[in-house]
Amino acid sequence: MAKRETSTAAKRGKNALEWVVFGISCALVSATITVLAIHAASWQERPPELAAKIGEPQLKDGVVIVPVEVTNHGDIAASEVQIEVARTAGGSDQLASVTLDFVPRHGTRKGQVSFPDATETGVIRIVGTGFAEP
Amino acid sequence: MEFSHQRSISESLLEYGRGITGGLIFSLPLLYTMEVWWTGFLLDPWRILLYVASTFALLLLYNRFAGLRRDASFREVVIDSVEEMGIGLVIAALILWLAGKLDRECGAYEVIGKVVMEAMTVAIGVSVGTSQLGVADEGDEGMSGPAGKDDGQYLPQVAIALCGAVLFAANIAATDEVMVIAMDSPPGRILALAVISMLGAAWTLAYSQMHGSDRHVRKETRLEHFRGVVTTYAVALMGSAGCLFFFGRFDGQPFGLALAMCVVAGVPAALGASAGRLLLQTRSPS
Repeated sequence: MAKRETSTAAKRGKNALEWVVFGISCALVSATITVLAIHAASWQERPPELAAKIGEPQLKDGVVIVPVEVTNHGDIAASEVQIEVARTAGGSDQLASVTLDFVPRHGTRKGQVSFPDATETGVIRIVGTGFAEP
Repeated sequence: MEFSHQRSISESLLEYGRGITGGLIFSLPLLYTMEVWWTGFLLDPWRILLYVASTFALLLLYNRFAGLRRDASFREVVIDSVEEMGIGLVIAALILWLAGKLDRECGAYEVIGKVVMEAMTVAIGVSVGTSQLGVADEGDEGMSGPAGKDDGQYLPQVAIALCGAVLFAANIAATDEVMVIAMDSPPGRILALAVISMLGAAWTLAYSQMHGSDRHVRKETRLEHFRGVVTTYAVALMGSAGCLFFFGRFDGQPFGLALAMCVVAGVPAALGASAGRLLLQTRSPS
């Protein structure tokens, strides 16, 4: 009992460390809520809007490697995103595709396709994209 | 501002350390579950905001009824809850980054979504770790109050049961397995899961003699016993439904399947609402 009274009488309050942790926590939680609120205010449930582009092709050991980058400008994530890439060289066409599990809303995912038996990079273009709504 | 405690910096460091340990203990399975990472960019921002608000409410309840300091004012409870959320955000971001799930490909919204979806359970774990993993300080009375005896008040126990249910159910609610079990199981098996969950809760609360059951469970009359078991299972179903909703598992599902998923996720939730609820209050002196 005496101990308790002493404890009650003692000066009570947070120490400097506790105030620092609280301050940082406040800033983090406020920033998180603010960003989410801004995002929520501008969110319109637009379906996935994919923009695919190819990077610089590289010819290595007879294989043309083509980086592919997909950006989703919609408000809903796209799943099972398939990008089909065609290569034309020496009068013949080759097709290759890459499947990405997800492309988040306003997010970007990267992949690559490769074309074997090549002596030159040829002309490369994206011929199709497909996705499912998760 | 008047506070219920005064600690040295080393004591505070110890308390934060215990909180971080608790946060990791209770949320590591979630941090390592890819379905939870995905919800960060699959869910709409309104639902993520609602998830943050709901978690904050749950933290307030836990800190008020089972937190470290029973004599804390509402303002202190709010401060503690904000701190736990902040620590949860830092831990979740750090673990996701170390696991390679936050990289330059991720946009700002994806990063925030992933971190928030993980951090909320971490924050509840931090709260539990802070209050349960340490030794009692002078003046820190936990749930027991000055009299040293808690008579199992109904609403506080319901609130703590909800915390336990969410803490246990959250670890599996996001996974595909819950939906697979719900889809593959005939109604009779789903019913059996519900009955087993209730029997398990009844045994834990009334007959297991688990630490704290004598103080936190009212079972003087058959009616109180019955009410306790039914309420515990109802709270477990609510907790599992909340977790499934916030992890987007109800989206596009028919009512029957959604209900079956609640029962499947309700098994760990019932365990959390009964045994977990007692564990969340073990620090109270007997």
